[in-house]
Amino acid sequence: MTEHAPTPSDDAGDGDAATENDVWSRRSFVRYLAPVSIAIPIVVETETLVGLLQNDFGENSAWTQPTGVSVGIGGDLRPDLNTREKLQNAALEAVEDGRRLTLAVAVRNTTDAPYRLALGAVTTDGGETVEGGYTTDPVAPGETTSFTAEYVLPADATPASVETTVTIGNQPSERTVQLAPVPTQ
Amino acid sequence: MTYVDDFPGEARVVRTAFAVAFASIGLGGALGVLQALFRTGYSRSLFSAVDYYSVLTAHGVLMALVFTTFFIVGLFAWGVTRSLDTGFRDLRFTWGWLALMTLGTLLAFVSILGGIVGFIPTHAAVLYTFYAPLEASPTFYLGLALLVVGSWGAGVDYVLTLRDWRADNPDERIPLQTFMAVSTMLLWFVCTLGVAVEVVVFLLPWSLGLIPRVDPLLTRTLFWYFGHAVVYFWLLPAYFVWYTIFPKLSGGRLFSDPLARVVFVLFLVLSTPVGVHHQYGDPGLSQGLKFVQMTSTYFILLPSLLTAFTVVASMEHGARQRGGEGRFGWLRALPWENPSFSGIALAGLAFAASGFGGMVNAGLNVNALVHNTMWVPGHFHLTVGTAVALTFMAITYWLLPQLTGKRLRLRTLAAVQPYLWFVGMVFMSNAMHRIGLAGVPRRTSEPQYEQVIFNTPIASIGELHLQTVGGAFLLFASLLCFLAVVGSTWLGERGAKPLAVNGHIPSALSGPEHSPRVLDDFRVWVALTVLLLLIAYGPPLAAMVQNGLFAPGSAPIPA
Repeated sequence: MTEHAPTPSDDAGDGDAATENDVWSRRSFVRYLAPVSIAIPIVVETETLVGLLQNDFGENSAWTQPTGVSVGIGGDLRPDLNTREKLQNAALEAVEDGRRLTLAVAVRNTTDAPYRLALGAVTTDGGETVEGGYTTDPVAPGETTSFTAEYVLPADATPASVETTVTIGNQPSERTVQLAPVPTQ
Repeated sequence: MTYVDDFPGEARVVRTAFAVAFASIGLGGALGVLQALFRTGYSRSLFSAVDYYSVLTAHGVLMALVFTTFFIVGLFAWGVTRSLDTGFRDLRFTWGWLALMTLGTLLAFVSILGGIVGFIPTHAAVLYTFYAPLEASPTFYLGLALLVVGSWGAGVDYVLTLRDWRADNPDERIPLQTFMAVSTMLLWFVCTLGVAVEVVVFLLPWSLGLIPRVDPLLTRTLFWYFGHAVVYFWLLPAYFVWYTIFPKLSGGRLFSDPLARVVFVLFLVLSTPVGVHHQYGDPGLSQGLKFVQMTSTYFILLPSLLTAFTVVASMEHGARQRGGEGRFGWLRALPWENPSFSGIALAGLAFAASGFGGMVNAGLNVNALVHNTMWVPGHFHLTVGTAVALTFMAITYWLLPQLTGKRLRLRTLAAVQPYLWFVGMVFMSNAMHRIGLAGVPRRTSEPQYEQVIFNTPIASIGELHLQTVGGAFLLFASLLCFLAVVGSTWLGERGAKPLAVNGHIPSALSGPEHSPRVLDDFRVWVALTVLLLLIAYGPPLAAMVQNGLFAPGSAPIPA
């Protein structure tokens, strides 16, 4: 009975297996299950892979957004510039006519020219545009300042992005900055 | 003559072990569906968010620890006695270890149940990875200790049977099935030492109030010393099936016996010194140690890749024996209607996919992305939940007639069952992986937070939850099919029809005579295993003990 003792039937393959499989061969419909079952993970995993690639590299993906990644509390609003625009705080608070979004920003002018930062409209996750914002006074080279901008969003809306304009000398630079999920107070 | 005629006493032992295993998977599977419904938010009325953790513990313990261990000791009992063509030396000893395992299981399960029902004064919502600081009732730890000690008895039984056989056959090579069973049990002896020390020296005295505190890092390290190698304790019995029975089911023979032996030796040597890759996020372990164990973890891919080659080659050989032709056309010649074949083939496919996820888990840096997320249970359900569990279910269709002397019944249901399981797991596991990529945590009853929005890469969280629950229901339907076939066969009439299966396993194309005899000398491989373990775990464990055995930062105890 030990399996390493060859028998004549071994040399010609396993006749027992053929006999054993015969009792299953009437269920030929099951044979169609095999290609279908193997096709399902191929479809599901291909969809996953394509979705992941689209998420990173497709249209409207984070990759193609102006700032590359969403900015959360402590993040740099304009990492594309040498200046510093830090999102010090962000909060959502329920108010009578909707939800108040507060963005607190600290800036440092690291250039040799006069500098100004403007926060413009906010776009919600539903695609609505909420006007508002704040524009700093000119900031001298090497100086810092901070400010708070407030917006009132519709109830249940969350902020998705905010328009920013940095003006160095007379050269404005505009970007739409994607916002990370903002904590609710 | 079939196995039950040749070894009626041993067949009874195997049947009893399988009965406990199948009861566990049935109950554990039902709890799994409830858990999926709760977590995804479809139904939260059956139990509370706190009770969820007891349900989760019961699901994990029943499926990952009880079902697997009982099936494995039964499978190996069959394999050892069949391949050596001899019964166990004393069946009273055999029944003794099986009774100990069963008692331990009941004790542990009742302890978990105490967390849900009020009249049992125990609790054990510690998950099946039961390390500190979570604490369970002493009965839970005692139950698991008995389960492990009982399984050691099984290993001793196999080794003693092999020793007797060698005394009678001094010049023979160890039959492959026995070689595999003994290698796996040696691995089990080595790796369970860690969890035995964790439970007996720390957790049990702690839960009894004999010691005031334990060092979470030390107990976690001892757990994971065991906790990764246990995966191979589950997997190697599946390999046992893939190597020794699957080629026959394909219509051919194993490609290489020596390669199979090398694979099992590699697993014995390499499985345990890799556990720290479960602790990449733990403070108190050096980055250097983590890097070394990451490297060891990648070494262990080698025997799995060897297995993929050997098993697929054996399958192709079988298909060509059956008339299959062409580069891929031979696949059509395989017996896809036979659930023993299809279940194992699909299990192998799932394991190949999960291997890539395992490489992500093993990476020191990439692991941080997925570690505490649903990605990990998604991976785990592909490996243990499919590669192992589906293999065990599939081979039951082939083994059960030999163990009972009864022809398999409800064959159409059996033929469909592996496909249902595979497709269900594809949906559920895929959703779990994707949810994990969005950062949704694992081990959490209600994974939603007011201040956090999970950004899923593809599809919404709601869609992925639906996919998870759909997959879970397909899996449960498949499980019910399996239990119906097993129950119906078991209750059937013996000898009414021919069995249509037999235990003959054809010899390998390349037999053991093509390999050096040192492969069969377990002393060499155990010595090498111990040496590697001393290198991998000696320094960190010594440092933890020096830092205070029970209270980190204190003087060593005894001072």
